[in-house]
Amino acid sequence: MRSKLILAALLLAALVLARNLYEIFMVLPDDAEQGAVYRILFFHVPALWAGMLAFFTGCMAGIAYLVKKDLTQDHLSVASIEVGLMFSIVGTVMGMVWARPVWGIWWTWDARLTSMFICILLYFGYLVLRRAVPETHQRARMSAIFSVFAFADIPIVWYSIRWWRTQHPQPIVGEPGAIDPAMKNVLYTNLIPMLCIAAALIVIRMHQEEISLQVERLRRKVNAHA
Amino acid sequence: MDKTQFIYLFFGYLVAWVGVVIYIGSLVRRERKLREQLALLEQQIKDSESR
Repeated sequence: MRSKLILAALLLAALVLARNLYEIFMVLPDDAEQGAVYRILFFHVPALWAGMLAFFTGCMAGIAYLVKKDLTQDHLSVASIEVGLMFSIVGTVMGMVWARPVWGIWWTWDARLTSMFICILLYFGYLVLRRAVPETHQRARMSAIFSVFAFADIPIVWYSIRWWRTQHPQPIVGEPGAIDPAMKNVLYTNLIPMLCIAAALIVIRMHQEEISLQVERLRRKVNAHA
Repeated sequence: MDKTQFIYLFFGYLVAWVGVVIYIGSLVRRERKLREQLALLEQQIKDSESR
């Protein structure tokens, strides 16, 4: 069942990606101001949206663990956060590559980029914390609390371009006339493959956490026998 | 298409694929390691029970 779900998600991702890549490179024209390099945004933006959704899932699963004490929620939390971190790093680095020819710089410490940098550091901290705590339920509890604390940065990242004047472009989502409808369509539909890939990776990572738990239990049994 | 723009576009997309491939590679390595540990521990338990 798990393998079929992963396969279905990856198949859907491949189909939508193939259609969107055709649109991006064969149909859509160059941007009047940015030229061809604006095409990076079709992956930069959905990758970061997928990352934020994964962090949201991680936070909700963390809260669910604190309420139910069910380790499956902890597995979902760590899997989502790890996959979200990967998407966030990829999206951020893509943004840097886009910024170099458009802004003339790779990076600037404006509110959006700084809050995103802090977000990446926080979730790295989450993964380091998990390695530092050996006891399963103690690790799950501390990680859940940390995931809620780390998620507090996400609204700051999201709203930073509305709250402060930033080098980063102003929001295009929900702003009439901010983007051509054909480009908007590709930008939005590119979220589908990102979410499918993220879901498949989260399912795989969750399964690894289950095996890891099994390994921990067997190790305790072996130590008890010795 | 301007050559400089093309180079940035190429590297922008390359970053995405390299990032995903590196992460999948790390997942595969972790899975292999976990399965090896699981098999070893199961064998140790079987050995100790048969003694």
